[in-house]
Amino acid sequence: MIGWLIIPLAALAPFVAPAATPPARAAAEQRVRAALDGYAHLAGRAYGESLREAETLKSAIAQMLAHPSQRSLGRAREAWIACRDAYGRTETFRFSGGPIDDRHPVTGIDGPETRINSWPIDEAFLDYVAGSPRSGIIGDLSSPLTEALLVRRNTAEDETQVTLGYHAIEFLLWGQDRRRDGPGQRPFSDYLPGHPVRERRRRCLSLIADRLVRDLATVKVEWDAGPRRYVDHFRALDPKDALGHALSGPATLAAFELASERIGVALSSGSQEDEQSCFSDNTHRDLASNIEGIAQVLEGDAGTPGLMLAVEAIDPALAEDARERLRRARELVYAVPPPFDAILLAPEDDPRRRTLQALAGELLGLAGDLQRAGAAFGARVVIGGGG
Amino acid sequence: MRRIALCAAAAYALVAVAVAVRAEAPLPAWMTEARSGGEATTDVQSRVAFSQHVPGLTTDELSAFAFGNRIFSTSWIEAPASVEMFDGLGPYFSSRSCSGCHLRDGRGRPPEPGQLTRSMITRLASVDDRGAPGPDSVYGTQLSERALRGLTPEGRLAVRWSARVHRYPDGTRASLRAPRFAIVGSGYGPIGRSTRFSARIAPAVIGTGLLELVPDSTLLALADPDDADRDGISGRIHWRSPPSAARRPGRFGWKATQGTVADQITSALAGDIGITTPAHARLELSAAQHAAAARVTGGDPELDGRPFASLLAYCRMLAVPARRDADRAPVTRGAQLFAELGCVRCHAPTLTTGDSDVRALARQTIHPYTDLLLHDMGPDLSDGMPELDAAPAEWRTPPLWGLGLAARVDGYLFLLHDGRARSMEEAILWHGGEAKQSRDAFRSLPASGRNDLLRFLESL
Repeated sequence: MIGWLIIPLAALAPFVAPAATPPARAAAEQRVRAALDGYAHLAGRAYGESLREAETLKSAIAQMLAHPSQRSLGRAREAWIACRDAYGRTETFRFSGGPIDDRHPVTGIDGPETRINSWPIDEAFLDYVAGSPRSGIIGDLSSPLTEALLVRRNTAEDETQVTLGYHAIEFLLWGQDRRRDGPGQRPFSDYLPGHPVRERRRRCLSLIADRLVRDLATVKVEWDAGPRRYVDHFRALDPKDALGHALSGPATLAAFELASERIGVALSSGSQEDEQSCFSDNTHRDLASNIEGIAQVLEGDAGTPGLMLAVEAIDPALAEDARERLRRARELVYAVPPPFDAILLAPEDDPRRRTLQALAGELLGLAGDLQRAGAAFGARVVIGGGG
Repeated sequence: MRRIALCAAAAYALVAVAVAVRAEAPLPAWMTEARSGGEATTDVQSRVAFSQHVPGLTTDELSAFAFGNRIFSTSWIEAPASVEMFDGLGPYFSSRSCSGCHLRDGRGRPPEPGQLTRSMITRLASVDDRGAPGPDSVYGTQLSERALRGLTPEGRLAVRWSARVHRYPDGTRASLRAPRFAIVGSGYGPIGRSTRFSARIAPAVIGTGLLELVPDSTLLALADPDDADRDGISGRIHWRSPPSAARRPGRFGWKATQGTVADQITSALAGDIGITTPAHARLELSAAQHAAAARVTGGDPELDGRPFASLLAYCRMLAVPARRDADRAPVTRGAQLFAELGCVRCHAPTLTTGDSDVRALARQTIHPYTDLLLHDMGPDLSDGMPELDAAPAEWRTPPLWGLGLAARVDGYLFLLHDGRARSMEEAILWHGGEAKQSRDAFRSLPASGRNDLLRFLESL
């Protein structure tokens, strides 16, 4: 927490409009510093929560595999949903140079994001689907199923050949969603021991859950616990650059990932394939937890300041607009009735589609505000995305 | 030969001196410029470095890019299917999706022995008495290794590699491999006696929107078809005459056969996936393929309107990654050698784009390292097949931007049209024809100079 205190006040001077009076400038500098410190704290905490929930998921899966039943499968599914909520709140820290999707600035290793959250998934590459009872890595008994195999094959030859992460687990817990009014209906009997393919599926699910925990643990350690922790690098950045990185995450998540990719594309294609959590019909919650993550990093909570503190210090009117958009986005996202795929298949004038479009509009507006806020600081806010 | 070696040694000495006195003589801007695509440069350096959009897109552009990205990675399915927008695969195809060959918008690779090709296609040309190319009477201009269920695929490309040792003047050795390709299992009778074929890996997609905007006049100025300046390099424009447009320079494809990104996309959709578009409304099917002609299509055409426009926007708006270490000493020494050895006479370091609706693409100073012209690359790289007006040994200078990230994005590195080169060094050593003098000058560099040049290429 003391990292920011060593930044000389002069380094923050360009943040503040030249017209500002000296006392106002000092106050603004104080708030920018507090906002960046709060950001680092929130990121570490959010990754810690996502790790804890993933550990809970892993043990729920282990219990289900020990005693497969409708009940234990139901518990594993509940744990997956809780785990998604926690991870969804961390996605606002993506696209920010941190050790999640980019190369780690210290270790040079690519972040594990593609092993954690790749989608859409070609189900038949992993397990059986309607019409192909023995397909995928699980159905093919010719080579031993190891973690190394799953890691090697994950998105190696096609981005939809997903063998790891949340959505691989989701498919293995729910199965294909072939109904319009509810999620997939995989039977618990898929996990009864004693048959070579089922044994392979059991092993597969267990390996993927292990790996997810390990990858999330790595993110947590690389953020703020390990010897080459990213937070030290972040704190050593020119505050202008640090703020640019920090604002690029929520801006990219709002404008590209959510508004354009997960909402816009899904509405344009009308295809269930464009529903992120298509097996569990959890997409509405994915959207909500992402937006809650954005809200948390902007507004802070429980005494930890958010980035809005910095925005306010420079341009109160811009902060006001961003707050209003965030408020409307939260309102709208909870007004999206599940299941999401039913909305995609609904006619053009369906009011639910209009709700999603309005949500996308607010998210794009919010990202624009963040970009303008960055510009006012002289910080580069990059709306990235793609891939 | 000896003269060239001496020149190279002299050039290296000059560069060494130039580096020493750099403070007095500033380097040309491209040598140290990290933003290869100007404003259309991305700072992302990870495995998805080729999949980023150019900065500063409008809301509409962003939404087109995202939808185009979706279409680029769509696995097309056989018609009729419940998702009408994305059916119409085949009947013959090389890949089910754009991203199947251009994974993460990157390059393809040649097949492993005994495997089907995955990100490589086989072009065909029947050559008449005067040497002019036309379609094979049965297989057309491309061999498809895949077909819808119930149809026989057209055939398969087989490759055998033979090792070659290259010896540098200083005694260092490098091992190369030369491919021998064959078409096996031709499904509709033997390939015509006068038919030639050429196997090509998928190139990376980045920066095409910028290259499309380089004015024709720039290419005309770079071209020197008769080698009037007698420098041994005679780049020429591959003029294309699309049915409904004035003739224009070809810019895309290994032989610069496509003049615009739209032409490139429509031709790849039709030839590689079997998807029709308004500009390419009919697939190439011969009389022998009547069973395929009777298959249901996924619409007439199968891709148009907003989805097609978005795919086009996506390809055009893919950013170019920023360089790494552009101002570090070994890299700048390599850049100077790149200039001294004459590599820049084809791999043009600096071009300027014209106007565009997309802000980040318009009027940019870019560093693609290509002149988009056809050059004779010598007998070793000749594929024996003329294509339109390009001779078998002529190839378009491929852009080099993003080269240093290719292995990170793709997970492998295979260069040149058929992927024979497994490293940048091997690719250089294969250069012949108009590039022979530069290649020989590279060979004659001391090892440290060769390394500097490779460090420069790695920085791109």
